[in-house]
Amino acid sequence: MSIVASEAEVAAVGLRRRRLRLLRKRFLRRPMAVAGLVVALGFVVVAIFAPLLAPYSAGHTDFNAILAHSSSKHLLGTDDLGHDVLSRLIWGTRASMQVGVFSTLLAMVVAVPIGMLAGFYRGWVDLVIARLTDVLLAFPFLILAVGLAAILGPSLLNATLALGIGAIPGFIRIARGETLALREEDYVPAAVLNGANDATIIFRHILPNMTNTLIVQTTLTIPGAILGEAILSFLGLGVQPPQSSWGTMLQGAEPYLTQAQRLSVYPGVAIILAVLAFNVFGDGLRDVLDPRTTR
Amino acid sequence: MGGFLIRKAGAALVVLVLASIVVFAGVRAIPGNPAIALGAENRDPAVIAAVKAKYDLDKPLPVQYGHWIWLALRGDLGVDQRDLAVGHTIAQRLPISLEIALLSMLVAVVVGIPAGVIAAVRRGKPSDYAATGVALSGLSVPHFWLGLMLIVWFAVDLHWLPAGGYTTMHHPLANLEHMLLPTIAIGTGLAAVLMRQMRSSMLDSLGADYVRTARAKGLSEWSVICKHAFRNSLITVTTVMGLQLGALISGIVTIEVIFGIPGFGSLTIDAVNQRDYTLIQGVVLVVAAGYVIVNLLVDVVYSLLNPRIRAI
Repeated sequence: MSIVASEAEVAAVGLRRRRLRLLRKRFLRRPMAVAGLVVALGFVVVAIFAPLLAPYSAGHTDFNAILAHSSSKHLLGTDDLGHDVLSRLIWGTRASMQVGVFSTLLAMVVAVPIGMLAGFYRGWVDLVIARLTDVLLAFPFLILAVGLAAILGPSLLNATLALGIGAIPGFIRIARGETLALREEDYVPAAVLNGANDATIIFRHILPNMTNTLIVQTTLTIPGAILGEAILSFLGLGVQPPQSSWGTMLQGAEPYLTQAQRLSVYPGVAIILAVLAFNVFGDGLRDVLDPRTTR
Repeated sequence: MGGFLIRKAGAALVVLVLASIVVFAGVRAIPGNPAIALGAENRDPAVIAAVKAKYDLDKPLPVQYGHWIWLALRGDLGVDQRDLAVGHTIAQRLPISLEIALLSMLVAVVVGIPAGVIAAVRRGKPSDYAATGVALSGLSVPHFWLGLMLIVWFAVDLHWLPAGGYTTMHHPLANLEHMLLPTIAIGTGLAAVLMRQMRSSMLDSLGADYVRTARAKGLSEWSVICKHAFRNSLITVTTVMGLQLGALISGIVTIEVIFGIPGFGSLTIDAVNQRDYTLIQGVVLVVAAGYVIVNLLVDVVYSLLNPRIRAI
């Protein structure tokens, strides 16, 4: 008996390893997606090691170099307050990644169980959840952020909350749809026969089978959140100066559009690169993990 | 059809009521006395007493809510910090933003739909790669940054168009001149979304049996593409337009701030910066209501285009 079990285990491990190798091979065949992954990882690394990488602190001001061009002291020059632009870009990366990743995680943790309940029990549970999702959908993320900023005051945390809440309906819809399909799979009645209760079926059998879809949705939600953070900070509803973010940098650069256009170019390019990298990576991941949507 | 419409309208009504409760609760979640918040931070006891009386703040919450909704339905959204009727201010600002919304959608449709069709028909050819690549970058460029760059290029460097401001529709040409850059800034991202959706649903349609049948009947390629594949692809595009409404709203808010357009969006941001709670409450309520109603309309249009959906 034990020999049979271990043989089955070995077979399962071998199968998983082979599947992973196949997925890796399929992913590596997409140069754009690989490039996206590399750039996205680069941003994450910069965000984590910002204190080591940034030449100056985010609030450091050099009054001898106001609106200075690039020099050995300030590689990308300085802004109107004498802040080192490169340092602020690096600190801004941290803010963007923080909001992008944590708001998406927040949405996932809240939304996936709710969506799975709706898809698993259907009926009135589904109906109630659908209506509540519609209520969330009635407030676009910017309006949510406006409300939160009014109640709690503008901050990085509240921008994360607003963007996280804004991403919840998308995750609910996906978790619900996947659960609706997966609960019809043969392994569900098999688990019921084995005496599994609903919680076991939902979390041990259905959830692992939708990880691929969730991973893809996560990678595609992060760039939206990065963009959202930039918008909120630009409008003064997110990160507050002297803390740096790409959005606050653009806000500060706006009055200098005629004199120092480079001040608005750098953060813009950073936003585009980050968003593009996550989008391309997510698209590639979807093609690899979810062959149904491949075109 | 009737049953479908009634069900959809009923659901929308439930959502509207719940959303209004959220807004109502939101203002009461603001730390401090709601009478002071709603009375524009005026601490004069007489004003506080008047606000309390007007909003029934000494009565139980359900009564307060009922009274507030009753006033809101009659267009009375209270008075802001400058003692102006919020309903009136919103009614003045909203048309400007609606014009921006419509023109931006026009830009998106005019650019995105043909690009998507061409990319699908010429799948795998250079024009497909070009269109797909441009669309992907269009998705990644933040509209507000594009707005700033458009100001730099067309207003600061070339002096072709005004860098901001607004002229009423009484002067149509000047109005369009002011609208061009903002709507391009918002429309580009929407066009990219539309293009990608149009391309993928056209590819679906072009692979469908009825297209093969149409080709087998000997119809010209033009009529296969336009009359068969294109018309069916438009159905999905309607839904996508509905889903993009949130992005459109955030685009309008930011772009109005950048271009100094006195629309609903800049009103929203001003309201937050001045911590004008009555104004915030009114603005959020109007957006939520508008959002629900537009989504209902999208559902209705969708069901008119696609009879299969009515059965669900």
